[in-house]
Amino acid sequence: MLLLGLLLISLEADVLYEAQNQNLFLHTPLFFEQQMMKAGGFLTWMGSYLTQYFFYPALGVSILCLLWGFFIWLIHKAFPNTWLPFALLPIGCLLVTIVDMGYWVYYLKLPGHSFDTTLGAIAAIGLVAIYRCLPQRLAYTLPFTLIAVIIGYPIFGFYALWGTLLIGLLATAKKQWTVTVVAAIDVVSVPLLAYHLLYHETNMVYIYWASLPMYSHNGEQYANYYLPYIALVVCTVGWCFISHPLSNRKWVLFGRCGAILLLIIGIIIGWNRNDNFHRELSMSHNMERQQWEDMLTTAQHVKGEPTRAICLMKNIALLRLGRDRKEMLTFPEGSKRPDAPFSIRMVHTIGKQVYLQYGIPNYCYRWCMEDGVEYGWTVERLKLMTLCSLLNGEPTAARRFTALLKKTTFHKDWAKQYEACTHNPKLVLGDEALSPILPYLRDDNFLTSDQSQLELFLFEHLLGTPNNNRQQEELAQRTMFYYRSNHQKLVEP
Amino acid sequence: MKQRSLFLLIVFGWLSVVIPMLTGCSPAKPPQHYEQSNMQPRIYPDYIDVTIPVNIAPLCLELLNEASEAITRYSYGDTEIICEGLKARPDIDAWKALTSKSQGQSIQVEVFAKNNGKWVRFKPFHLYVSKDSIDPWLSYRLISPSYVSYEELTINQRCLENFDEACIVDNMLCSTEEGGQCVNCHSYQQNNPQRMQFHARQANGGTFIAYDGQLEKVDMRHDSLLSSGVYPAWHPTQKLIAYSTNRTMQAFHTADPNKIEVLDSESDLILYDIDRHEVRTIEQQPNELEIFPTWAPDGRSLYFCSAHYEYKADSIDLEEITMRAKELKYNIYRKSFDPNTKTFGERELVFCADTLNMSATLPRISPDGRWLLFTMGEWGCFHIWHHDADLWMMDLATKEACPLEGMNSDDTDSYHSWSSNGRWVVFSSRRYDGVFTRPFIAHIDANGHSSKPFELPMADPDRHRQLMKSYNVPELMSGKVDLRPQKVASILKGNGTAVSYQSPYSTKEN
Repeated sequence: MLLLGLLLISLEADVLYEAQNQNLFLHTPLFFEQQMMKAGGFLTWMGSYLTQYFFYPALGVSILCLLWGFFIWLIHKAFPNTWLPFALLPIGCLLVTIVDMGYWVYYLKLPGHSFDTTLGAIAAIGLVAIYRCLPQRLAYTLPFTLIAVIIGYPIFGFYALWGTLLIGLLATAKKQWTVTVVAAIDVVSVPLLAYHLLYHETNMVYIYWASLPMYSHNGEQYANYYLPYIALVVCTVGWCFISHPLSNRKWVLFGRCGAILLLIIGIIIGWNRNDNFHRELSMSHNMERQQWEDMLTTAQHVKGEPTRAICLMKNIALLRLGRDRKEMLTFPEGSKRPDAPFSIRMVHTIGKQVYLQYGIPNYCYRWCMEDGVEYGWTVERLKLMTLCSLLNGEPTAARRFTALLKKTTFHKDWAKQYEACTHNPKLVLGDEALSPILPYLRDDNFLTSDQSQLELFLFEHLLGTPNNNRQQEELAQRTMFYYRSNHQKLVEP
Repeated sequence: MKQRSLFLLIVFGWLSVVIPMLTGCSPAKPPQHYEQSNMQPRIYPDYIDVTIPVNIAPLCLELLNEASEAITRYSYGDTEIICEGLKARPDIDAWKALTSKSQGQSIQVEVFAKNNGKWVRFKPFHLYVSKDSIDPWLSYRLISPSYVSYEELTINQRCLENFDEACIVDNMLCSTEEGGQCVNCHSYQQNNPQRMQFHARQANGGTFIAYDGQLEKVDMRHDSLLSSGVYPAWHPTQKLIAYSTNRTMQAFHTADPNKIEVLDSESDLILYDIDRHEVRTIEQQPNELEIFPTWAPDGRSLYFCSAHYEYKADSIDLEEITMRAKELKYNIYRKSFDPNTKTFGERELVFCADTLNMSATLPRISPDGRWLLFTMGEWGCFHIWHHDADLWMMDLATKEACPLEGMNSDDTDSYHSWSSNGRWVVFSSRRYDGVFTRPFIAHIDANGHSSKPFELPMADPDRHRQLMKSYNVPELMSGKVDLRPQKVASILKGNGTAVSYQSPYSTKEN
């Protein structure tokens, strides 16, 4: 567990930080109420709550490891005949659900995804563990099976169904057919009843999968990402039929080695180690903190061809540091497609920050709003919308967003800092994040659209409209430099 | 015996904590000694000196002044409600008793705040309780103020007499990851909740019409029409709905605070006959963009907006109209209508906004037929995105029009709907933050004068500052819509009844 934790912290600190950046937990009754509007709402509420601790990745990982430790203990209680190495397999699955995310970190619609699976699995196995502790008489097991779904489904969604399914299977092994039948009927009927009587936000298609992430984009499903979930369920289903531990030492040893090997192979295959993706995250976090030199270091050591996002951020860093245009030539250039199974648009990833840095807060704001609606409100979006509102001279709008950020755990100070700017706009002039953008703001307005093509729009807008200032011209020229010979490559699919 | 006493002690102790929490206000007394302030308290929402209907839900409020403790007293004569805490939430029964006694008079609200150990009494303000009641239900679309994207959006209804809220339509019941659905333009015949319509766009698209218990999905797409029906207007008595048909587009400002422009490249007016499933064109004039139909209460004339626009290009040029968006100035017109022959007269100008270099949209006529309420902005038809949008009122008897100074704010004031008795108006305003629209209610007296509007009361007064959604198209209703979202979804998932297109309505000679 410690090893997995150390691996997570050392390899995925930026991904975990981004997970909390793309998450929002508000200490308000309304936030709780909104989560509870869906089956499994309590789970996503808890998941969102815990995800915010990735603000300090080590702290978040420590919590995660503690939960995994608890999960193993529960497995031991629920399935006493399972050997420890096999109990590690579900932990591997839980780990893979986090480290295989890649660009899904921007696109997943499930709040608190990084913790949801762990919490859900604990809930499911916890139900089994409680069932095991009960006196194995119908007077106890039958009401418990009923209650497990009726109460569990609204709280844990799919995971309550999974737990009840396992209870049904365990009952089968013990020939408690009544419990099996009740569990089966419950699993099928409770979500249906909940659809008709309780929830109006979940389509019938998803009622059995409530609180599971949907790996689909633009109408296409990406089944590979469901594999750790399937493996998790299959594992536990298999354990229901192990009635006694193996006594043959040779088989035990073989089984243990096999389990560990499977765990290692699964994690290696599932772990997204794409260099460009990690560098993009690192650079965007440094851009958020105005650490321009660090951004350049990251861009300099890119392995192979960089993505356009890396090049764009590198150009901004060079400009902010006032470096000569010639220095741009010393950095790797390119337009490698982001390593994702679907087409990635920069407007959904680092594009909002880029628009802000280029002095077009309206377009940054627009994409924050669009993505907020489609993928959910996040800390990053609220922060960017605050900055855009301040740059646009809309203090009341900015206050609206800082008021929300003040209800978070780790972003209160940030909110207070910028709330002060809403009362005293002169503070913007001295602000580290906002003042460098001020020279890029333009008074002249154009009614146009970027068609989700960030770089082409920037290039065409900055070079195709009059009254550009020197800095904007400079930025556009830097894009132009690459554009001249790679026009087609800039068109995002 | 000891155990029993302990048990009773725990129960009573628990009740003494919980009951005041449930009722909202504790039996606290305002302080005897305090410093009198000549300032009024800073409260959210701003309920200072507003006029309220006698049947409105409690006006819960939050004190924004710095204070460690606060007490709020609502009083009229010897009846009073005292609430403790920074959030004042009067008990609903006590509130009903208070408003009932004070109708035609005013409730005094005193706010006491404790700061640094000292109590301060702010200058009291008043809530004027009108004898005119308001329709008990309000429906609206809850939607994030996004531009192109949509995900979770619902058409909800809220009882104005308490805090009950229910969902009528939830688009997520028809949306999947493969295909989303947008619902919009809900509308009622004469505030009647039994007669309702709304549109669903994209996945399972169509127009949903409920008429006295009969539910139907209509597929209004037709080769002869620009689009399905868009902005609706129920005929006050007949089973007819006038719609505009629009080719709508969006463009985004790079620097303007309005951020987005929604405009039509083409638009016409049509009339839909519910029984015959038949559509006819009402207005299809060249170089005219017609929109926002609305009927006079007697059903004998149709008001609408129209902008004159001539393309410089030989054909419809989206880029050109986008570049010239500020030239789109809508005036208000009307056409007479003969309900017997279902024929329309020629268009006649009612309000000429373009001569003021302005654009008038969303005409709505008061139930007595005298007042025409509309939205004015500098240009265009989608004023909910224009920070300069204001409400104007025209006296149809004298043809005089002016902005409603008492109602308007520095920010967007737009979509409006009359109550059945014509004494209240609900409208959308972005006055508090410029981003999220909230419903505001204002009293209109017999002479067309408006009172200071108040925001829709909420059980938690802070709720609107946390909610990241806008209230869109607020419509008052005389009762509750008796539809469950699951039922609506099941109808939307089915096929819609196709409409037939008939030749355009003849225009009679005036």
